[in-house]
Amino acid sequence: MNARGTQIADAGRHLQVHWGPEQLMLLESSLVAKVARQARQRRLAQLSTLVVVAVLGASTWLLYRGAAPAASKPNLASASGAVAPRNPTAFRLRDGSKLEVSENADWLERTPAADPSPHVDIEVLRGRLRLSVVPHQPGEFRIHVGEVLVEVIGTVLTVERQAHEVSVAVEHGRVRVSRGTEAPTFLQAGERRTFVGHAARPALARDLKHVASAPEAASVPPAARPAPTSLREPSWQALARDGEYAAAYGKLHLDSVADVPGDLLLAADVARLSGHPAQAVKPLQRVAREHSADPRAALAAFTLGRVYLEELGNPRDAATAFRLTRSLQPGGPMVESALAREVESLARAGETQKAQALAQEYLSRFPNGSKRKLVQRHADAP
Amino acid sequence: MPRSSLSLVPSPAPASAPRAQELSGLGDVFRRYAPYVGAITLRILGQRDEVDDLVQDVFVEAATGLDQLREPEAIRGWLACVAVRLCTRRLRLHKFRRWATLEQQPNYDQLEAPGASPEQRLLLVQIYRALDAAPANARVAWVLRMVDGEALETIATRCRCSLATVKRRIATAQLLVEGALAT
Repeated sequence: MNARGTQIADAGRHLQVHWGPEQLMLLESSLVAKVARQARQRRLAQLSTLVVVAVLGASTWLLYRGAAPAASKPNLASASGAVAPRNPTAFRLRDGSKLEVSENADWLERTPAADPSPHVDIEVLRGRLRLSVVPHQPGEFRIHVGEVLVEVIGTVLTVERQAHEVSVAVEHGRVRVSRGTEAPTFLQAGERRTFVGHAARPALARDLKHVASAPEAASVPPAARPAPTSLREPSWQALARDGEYAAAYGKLHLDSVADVPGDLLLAADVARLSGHPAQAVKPLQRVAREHSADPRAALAAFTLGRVYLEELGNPRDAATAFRLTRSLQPGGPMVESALAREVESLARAGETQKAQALAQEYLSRFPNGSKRKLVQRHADAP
Repeated sequence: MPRSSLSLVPSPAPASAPRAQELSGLGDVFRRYAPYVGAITLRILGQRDEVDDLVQDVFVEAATGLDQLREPEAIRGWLACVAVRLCTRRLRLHKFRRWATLEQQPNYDQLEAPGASPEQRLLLVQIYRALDAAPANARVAWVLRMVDGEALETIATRCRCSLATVKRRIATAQLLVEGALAT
């Protein structure tokens, strides 16, 4: 058995996986996409769980409130014109809107209590607030969170202010969100937006001084919590390299991406991995066609093919991209995968005869190819 | 079987352990350890088709736990543990699918063993056919010991079982392999 053991070990030494640099790069790129996809799915699952818990909680609360209407109502305090006490749970504003305030959150209503106008201006100093806003005219109910301005008509939403970011999540209705001179966006029910690197508006300090005349305000001096005044926002490239593809996409202007393969490929990754595959097409095409001498051009063409095939459902253009991959690196290590994918694309596009001919070419060139089972199916197709 | 009786296969992993600053992210870890994980996976499964997929699964799992590793030197062993676990699961799935006639017996004629002589290739094919009949756990332990050349203690760590269990599993697979090679 000793000799046999040596034989086995000697034979086993030949069992090795050989990946070329491009294959390794492809695997890595695909791995990154897989990880990002799983993270998205995980977040979605968490959100779903949260929604289910919220629905169950709301149902239980409604049932409980129905059973004991007087005793179980939350203790809603009127908070007009004053800084909120330290750890309240719920408030009712003078217009009837309700606020649920997380622990350690600070906020104030900037409109004086005696003001007869229907305008309500809420300032979130820190922490999370959930607002159930009664119907208003557009522009009457506004929430200021640092630089971010949220205009509400009648809705339920949550705003949260942390050290370096502001997030707005809408449960019902629709809100208008803007920051500084940026174009406003509208968030619908179920949507959420996060603003990274916000800064306090200079006007806020003056307003806070004005409001601080209320007796309770002494406990929360505005100067004690200065918001950052100048935060350097990370570039889309930096965000992309950190794997924050959604945030990177928010900052990415595809038309102004530098015409260098590295940036174009990164921009394509940001678009793909943030769920905007159609936006990845243009930068990938630019690398593959206008930088065909670059060693990454074939990779760009291959990725373009995958985007067309797997994400945009366009097998005809996918086949063209895979053909381009092969022509860019005729003897390269990606040829086998590109050929197999081209077969698959042609078959999906209904080009059965072309797919069959190409499948035969694959089998003759790569009899031991890793995709032979898949390709064989197309070669044998009637 | 005494360990000294085997000519052990050298590990394809890097000789020196990485320092923490060398491995800044998943990409670095993947580039450094993918060939090592690929070799383990190929030797356990015996088939090249699924290696890429499984290696990716190993690193996807690694992505969630990488930050929690205190010792960068432990990455290699930890990846091997994950690879072993996923390969065992995959072998069990194949076994079930074959039992349910959803899948045919695997064909080892196209073993990815460049440089192997025809005799060595035949030997490997006979071994993997025999191992198809072995329980997944026994197959994994046997391959790690006889093909990968790992120490029994290391195998116990990789398979998360006791030393006695490892020996029992290797013996189970060994009987099948010896039977196949004797005929």
